[in-house]
Amino acid sequence: VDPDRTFVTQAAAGSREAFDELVRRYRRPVYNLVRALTGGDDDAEDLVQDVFVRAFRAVRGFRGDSAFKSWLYRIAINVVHTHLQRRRTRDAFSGARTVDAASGDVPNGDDLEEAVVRRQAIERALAALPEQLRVLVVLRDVHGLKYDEIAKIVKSPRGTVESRLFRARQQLRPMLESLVVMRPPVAGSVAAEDDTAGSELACEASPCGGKEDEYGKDDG
Amino acid sequence: VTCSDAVRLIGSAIEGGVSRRPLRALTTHLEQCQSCCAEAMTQILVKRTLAATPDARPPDTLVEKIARRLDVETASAKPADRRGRPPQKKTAARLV
Repeated sequence: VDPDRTFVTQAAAGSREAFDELVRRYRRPVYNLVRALTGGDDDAEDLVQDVFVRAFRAVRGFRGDSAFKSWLYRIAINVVHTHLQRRRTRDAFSGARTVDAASGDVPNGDDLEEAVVRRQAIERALAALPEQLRVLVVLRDVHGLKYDEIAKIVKSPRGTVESRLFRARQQLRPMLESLVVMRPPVAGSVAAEDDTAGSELACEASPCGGKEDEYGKDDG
Repeated sequence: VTCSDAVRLIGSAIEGGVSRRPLRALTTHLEQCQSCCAEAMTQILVKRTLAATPDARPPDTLVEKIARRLDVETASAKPADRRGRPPQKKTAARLV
């Protein structure tokens, strides 16, 4: 059941208060989604406003075929897509350099909180991905949407989403090298109760054929 | 399980979408194949790293700015007529 259903129904019937509540609920995730999709663009705040204005115009026609969140994310992806197209055109004419995550320009962390530096590094890495892959990896790995939800949002078969996501992670790995999150290895992860596995692979228990993990020992 | 089978399964396995038997076969393969294991580690570590992306706090003024834009939208929306039909555009052709 869509947790936003009541407010969405009221907003669709013309309630501004109900829509304002949806804005309060989603301003933060949408802001983070837009930042991730644009590579931490300075225009993120304006784009978020555009997302909610578009949603406000369209909410009367929202039929509830998907969760409100998925619908709103679809709008955000479209807004960002248009913005990126314009930015590419503008940069092409002005000769400006587009965001280049692979350039290795890491902000000086001395004066910044570690979390900010970390987020910026991730945003820069994401910006280096082709937009088609970036959208998928942001929706799945940053925002935790399910494959089926993502497939609906991007209007692609689930198998396509899975294989593109795989490629996206492959491309991101070298750019995230200094940020990888290690955790104590899980000893075997075969699900005990149901017929599906846990979300971690058992190979973590003895990484890569029993040899020391090439990415360094876990410090936990 | 061949290397191509393993690559095909890794993505689903880290999402918990592989049933017990093929998962065991995959695990056995990964214990013996360094390149597939490295691939699995890549998928797991990137997924985990991105999941730990610190949240950015939107500017405090954002809600207010959105509200102002919505006020403009509400004010500029023309009311439907008494039968509930949406307002129609007055095109130049209809004005002639």
